[in-house]
Amino acid sequence: MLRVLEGKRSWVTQRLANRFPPWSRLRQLAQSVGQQVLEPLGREAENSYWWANYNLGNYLLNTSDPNQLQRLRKLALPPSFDFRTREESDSVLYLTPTSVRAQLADESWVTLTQAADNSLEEFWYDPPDAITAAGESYTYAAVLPQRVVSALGTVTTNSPSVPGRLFVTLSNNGSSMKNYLHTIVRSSVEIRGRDIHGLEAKERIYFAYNGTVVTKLAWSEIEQVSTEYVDDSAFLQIDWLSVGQRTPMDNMGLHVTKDREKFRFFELGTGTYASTLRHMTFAASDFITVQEGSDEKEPLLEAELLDNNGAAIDNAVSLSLWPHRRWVTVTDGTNLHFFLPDLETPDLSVMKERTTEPVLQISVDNEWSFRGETITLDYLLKRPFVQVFRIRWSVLKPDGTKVGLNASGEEIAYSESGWVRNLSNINFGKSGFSGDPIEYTLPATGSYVFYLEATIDDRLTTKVDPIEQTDVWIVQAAGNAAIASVSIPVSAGTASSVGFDTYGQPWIINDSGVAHRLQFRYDKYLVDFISKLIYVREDYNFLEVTA
Amino acid sequence: MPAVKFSMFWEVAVADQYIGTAAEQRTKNDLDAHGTFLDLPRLPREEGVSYIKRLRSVIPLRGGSDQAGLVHGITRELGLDEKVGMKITPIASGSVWLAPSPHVEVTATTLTLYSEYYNEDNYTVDRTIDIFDQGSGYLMGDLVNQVQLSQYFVAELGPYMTGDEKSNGLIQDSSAVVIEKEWVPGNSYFFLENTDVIETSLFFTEKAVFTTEVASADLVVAEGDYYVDYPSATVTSYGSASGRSTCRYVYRDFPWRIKWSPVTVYSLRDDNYREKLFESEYMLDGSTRQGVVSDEGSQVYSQVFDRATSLWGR
Repeated sequence: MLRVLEGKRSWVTQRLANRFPPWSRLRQLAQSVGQQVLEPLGREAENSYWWANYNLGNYLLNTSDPNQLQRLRKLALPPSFDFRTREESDSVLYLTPTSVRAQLADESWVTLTQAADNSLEEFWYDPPDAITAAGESYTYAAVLPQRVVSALGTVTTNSPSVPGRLFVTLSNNGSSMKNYLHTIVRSSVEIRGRDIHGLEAKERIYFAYNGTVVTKLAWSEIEQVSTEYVDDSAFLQIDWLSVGQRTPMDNMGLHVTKDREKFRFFELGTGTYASTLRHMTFAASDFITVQEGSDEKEPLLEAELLDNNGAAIDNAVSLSLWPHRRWVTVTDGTNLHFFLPDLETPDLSVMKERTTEPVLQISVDNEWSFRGETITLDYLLKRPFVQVFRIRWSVLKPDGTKVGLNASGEEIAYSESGWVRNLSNINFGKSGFSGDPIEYTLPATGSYVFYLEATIDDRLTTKVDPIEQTDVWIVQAAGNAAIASVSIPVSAGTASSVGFDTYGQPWIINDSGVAHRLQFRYDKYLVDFISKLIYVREDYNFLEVTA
Repeated sequence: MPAVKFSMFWEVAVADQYIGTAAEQRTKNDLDAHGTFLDLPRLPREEGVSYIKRLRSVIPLRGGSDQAGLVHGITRELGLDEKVGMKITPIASGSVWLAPSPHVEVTATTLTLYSEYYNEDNYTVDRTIDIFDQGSGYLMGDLVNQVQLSQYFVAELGPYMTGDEKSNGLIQDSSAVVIEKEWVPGNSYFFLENTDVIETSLFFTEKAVFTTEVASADLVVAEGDYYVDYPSATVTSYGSASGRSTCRYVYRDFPWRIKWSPVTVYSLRDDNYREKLFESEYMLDGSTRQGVVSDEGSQVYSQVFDRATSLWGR
């Protein structure tokens, strides 16, 4: 498993939690103890799922990853070369070489890093360390720029600059299931032309909903595009790069809530402070409704985008999913950033300060939020026959300071004067309980730990002593730090979009409308201590290994 | 153990250091498994994107022992690309071609444009262009310019050609495509699947329905009469076909895309190619025969004999 996955909350965890009853805290809350237990299992299951899916794709030629683990370079160290060792009481451990450097073709030297855990997966499937060069370039032209379907009769198409499978995007089509003479028929698009070998070909693509479908055939010329049961007002676009998709669907993950599972989509958002990665799903509750045309998407959570040094990315312009990899690729014009879309798990160790099953509990509108967002905190009385004497709100901020919050959510000193007595709305009525919500704006990225201390009198017990209780809730102002950030060569210009062709090769389109293919460089090494071998990916002039 | 150097006062452990050049390490992956299945091994140092493109071309561009099959196979095994070399279209006035019966053919050595081909009494060659040498050049761009001189045809380069490829890479073919068998629908009015059908080439197996071909749809008046509009491939018959019979025909595939490959394969028995290999001798009666070996021929034969065991004089 990729080391970087270990800090992430897996989407499978909630799927496991959903085997528990709806009223259980385990099912309802990501930060419940139960989900903390399930998290490692979910993560492993997700990883197995990913690799099973990946290997299944490689089983068929048309869905194979062209860039799967292949040619390596191997440096055989001489028999006299000794790695450093550390002697333990019962064993001798090899130590990582202090330095491995490589000379590039231009005779400059780069320092290589060891793949995390010396694992083959990290070695090959990690994001790149540099972009060496812009490969071939073409003036970018979509095969069929976005066109209203009623005007398809007069369109001219361009040959794809790189012949291959094409991205066909249909939008504004309404329902994809049309009632034609009391028969339900599907919207479809037929392409005729020449395949990649110049042979005559045709392909019909069925659309279940407005979105992007990749053709099965590889094309070199499109001669005719026709539609069946597609609205005249719909828009059709055919591309040889994935840049036409504004909200790409993640086909290797789902959005799982405590109620249901949904497809998830990604799009760039604009937060108060920085660009954000927005997770979206269909707003409709079921897929039939989506196919009937209600395919609006709603944002579910957002994470502020940070580069690999932790600095906010405030001008992200384009996003693309890297096929056959886990990464969401984002460009801000001059850099490419690689993200794992899932959120970091906050440090849940503070949950130990929570009283077991407090009667007065915190309720927040959102467990996941982002910097600058305002959240609403409320308190819930979980059952009647309780008298609340006083409560006190406080928050532990990401910088480590703990402050109190007054009744209007403003920060005050965390002190005895923070207690609120004579609460209104504190009685448990016929319709349950209504609290007294306060609003709080998250001024920085990180985990906010909210505390609700209360002194209550539990009338179900015979004792009349006041009981001190504390509930703890963590709200994360989510930041998604890039696993890698690499700069785009100046020769390729300033990127206005990033995309991949159907061979999984990365491209940018710069602000002059020229598409450049990028070539990645991977400065990682693997070491085989016993056989004294160093494996690298690139064709370096020399490798320098220091034990 | 690390190498240890002794100084006068203390031991200094100097870490081992080694500088070298990494050697290539081939690792097989799932693409190589597909390659085993399709009998197409990876080329030395070949990356996945190129290899997957070659693997995907195995089924559509079958290798074989005929000229096209050899070109497909050799091109693929060398890691080269076949492309559409050029597109040729007859010039039309309105919807009618200027050439009465256009036809284009690529032989081993020539590109021949016929303005009238399927009329046995009067077949007319518009232009014959030597694809080895167009006088002014030998590249695809030059060849397109030569075709443009025709009054009946226009040509353009294929979408992935630069014009700087050698023009003798065109693969032998003709603009006429033979359909061996096509199902005839059970109607009295229908379209064939391809348009621009050549007049004399259409045969129906169901002779009871398609007995007498008449000159216009109005004349289809009796059992067995049928009329074909050849440009649109529309058939009108008096009776309905059974729906279980077939027909065969030849159609003109315009705009015709001529395939091009960097690999060219010639038969030494090909008459057209022999004209390149031998000088022509003009006989007194006006005919020609092959004389001594030409420059091109001597190069080809010397290379052939270099590689093949020859048994001269035994």
